[in-house]
Amino acid sequence: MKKSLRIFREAERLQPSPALWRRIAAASGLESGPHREGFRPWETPWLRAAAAVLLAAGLIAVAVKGFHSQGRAEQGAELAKATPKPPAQAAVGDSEIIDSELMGWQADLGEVDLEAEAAEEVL
Amino acid sequence: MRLWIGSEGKSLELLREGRLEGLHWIYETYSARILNQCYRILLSREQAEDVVQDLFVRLPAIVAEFRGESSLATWLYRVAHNMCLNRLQQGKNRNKLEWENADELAPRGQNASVELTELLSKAMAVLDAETRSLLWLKEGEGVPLKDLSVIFKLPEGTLKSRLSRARDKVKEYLEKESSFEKVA
Repeated sequence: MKKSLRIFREAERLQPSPALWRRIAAASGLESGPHREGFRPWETPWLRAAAAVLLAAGLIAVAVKGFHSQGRAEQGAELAKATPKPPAQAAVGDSEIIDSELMGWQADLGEVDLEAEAAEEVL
Repeated sequence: MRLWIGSEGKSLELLREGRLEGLHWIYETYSARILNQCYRILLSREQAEDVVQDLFVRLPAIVAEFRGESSLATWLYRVAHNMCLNRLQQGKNRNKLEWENADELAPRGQNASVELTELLSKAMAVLDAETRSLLWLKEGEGVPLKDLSVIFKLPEGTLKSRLSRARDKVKEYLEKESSFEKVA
């Protein structure tokens, strides 16, 4: 190649300054569309693949954990059935669940109401 | 940074819809080439960047004029060429040489020979603005004559003779420069 032409090929090329695009984008008045067909800069295919792998791993971990805890609950229930309750614990039974005093108060309320209704009927 | 949206046609479609992604793709693809073309015409990096900015800001409005009769690159070269010449006419500094500002004439960089680059800038400054544009696009960017004929709206024969004269002038200048012999 001739010397005088080689100088054109070997000459340094200018690169646009980083601020140039920002100025153009701001002055153009255009906006990014709502439905893009491509990736944003941070949405590289590799990053998407990595996110998908992490998501799958997370789902598997949750499923395995759930399976283990369910197994433990079933084991606990079977163990409870198989183990006889001590007599003291069995004696507590229903009496602890139903408060006789409270039930008596509720019964009184019912009686009062009945009396009130009877009085209204007379009037 | 590059927004990947596929092809040139798609980017034009997006640009016509008024979407920034279309403009960004075209900018990423062509801005450096246009900047260098403008720099060779205007002999000033600052003015060249001004023209590139102006061109891309106006592109959404003027893209309707691009009807695909030539490649987008050819059309952009033509628009840039006209904008640079308009700027020179407005500034009444057409063909004005900016010898005194050596820093402005020679772009800075790491890879290419700074001496060669500076020498080329000075050699190009011997030519008028239109011829600088023509010679740069042919020899610097490798644009074929057929496309140059579209850009300059001149027959290929006319362009060939202009190019020949321009090369002779540049060669003559370079031969005068003793440093060129050392470099080349």
